[in-house]
Amino acid sequence: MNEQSPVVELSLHIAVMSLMAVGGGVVLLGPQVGHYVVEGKQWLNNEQFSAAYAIAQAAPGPNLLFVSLVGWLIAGWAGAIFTTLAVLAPSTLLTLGAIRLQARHAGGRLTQALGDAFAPISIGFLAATAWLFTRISNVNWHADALTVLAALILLRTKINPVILIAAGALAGTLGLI
Amino acid sequence: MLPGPTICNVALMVGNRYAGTGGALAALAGMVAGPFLVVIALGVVYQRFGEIEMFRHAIRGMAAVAAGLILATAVKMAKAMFAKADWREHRTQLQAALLALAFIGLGLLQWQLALVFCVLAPLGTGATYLVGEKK
Repeated sequence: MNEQSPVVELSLHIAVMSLMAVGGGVVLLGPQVGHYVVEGKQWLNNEQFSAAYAIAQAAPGPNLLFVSLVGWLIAGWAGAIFTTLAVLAPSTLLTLGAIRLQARHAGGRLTQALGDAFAPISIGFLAATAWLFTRISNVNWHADALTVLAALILLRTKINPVILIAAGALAGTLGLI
Repeated sequence: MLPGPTICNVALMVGNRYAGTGGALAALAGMVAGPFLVVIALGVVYQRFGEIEMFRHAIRGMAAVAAGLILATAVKMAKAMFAKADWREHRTQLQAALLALAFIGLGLLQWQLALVFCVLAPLGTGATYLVGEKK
């Protein structure tokens, strides 16, 4: 750990961001956290950051755990544990609060308006995330082509994404990217 | 439509239904703890072997596919949202505009998430609220 401890700073940043990561959730954090740790603070390089994301995506469980991995790479156990709590705590409190409120206000006009507005915003954010992530991690047009191909295959078939990621690893190993 | 990873919110709701707040937190911890250790274990492997050229190439391929997964999710959600939409309705047009603005602001202009969110969320909700009234 560095002297001025990036753990606290990173965790606070993630906690605030996590509240704006509406809808599809975690993937939105990708570019935001990436921008912050790579370009802003230079705690990691592009390659390390996209590796953290790729590994978490390949592993079982919620892929928000890429945040834990970023924390781990920057500051070991403390980094991993605090960043994980930072990403979980705010949205957990909000969800528990919403569960309590929902019973009383379900079906109201404001609830409907919130849903109608947040759904397209989260989809736009998701698409932007995919775009930004390719800017961070894809090094050439071969990689971009692989991204598009993977998306098309996922949309047309019911293949398990983990198989696609393994295929991506293979394509990389064979030097196609 | 809450912030945070969807799957975690589902765990919270199910836990909450069966055993209250404590149950919700236990369900969340159960869902996260195992994968957390797996991911850290993989991180240790990465720190150890991450410099090896072959490993770096494999990771590149995985990352490109991971970006494709996100793209596919966005397209799927958009398809689902607009599947039964009537494009003459103001609500639908408004939603399409919000989607486009969110993408342009965050993706193409690369504004901060906080900025884009704090502009679009209140304005968008206000607009859908007003449009809802006319029906």
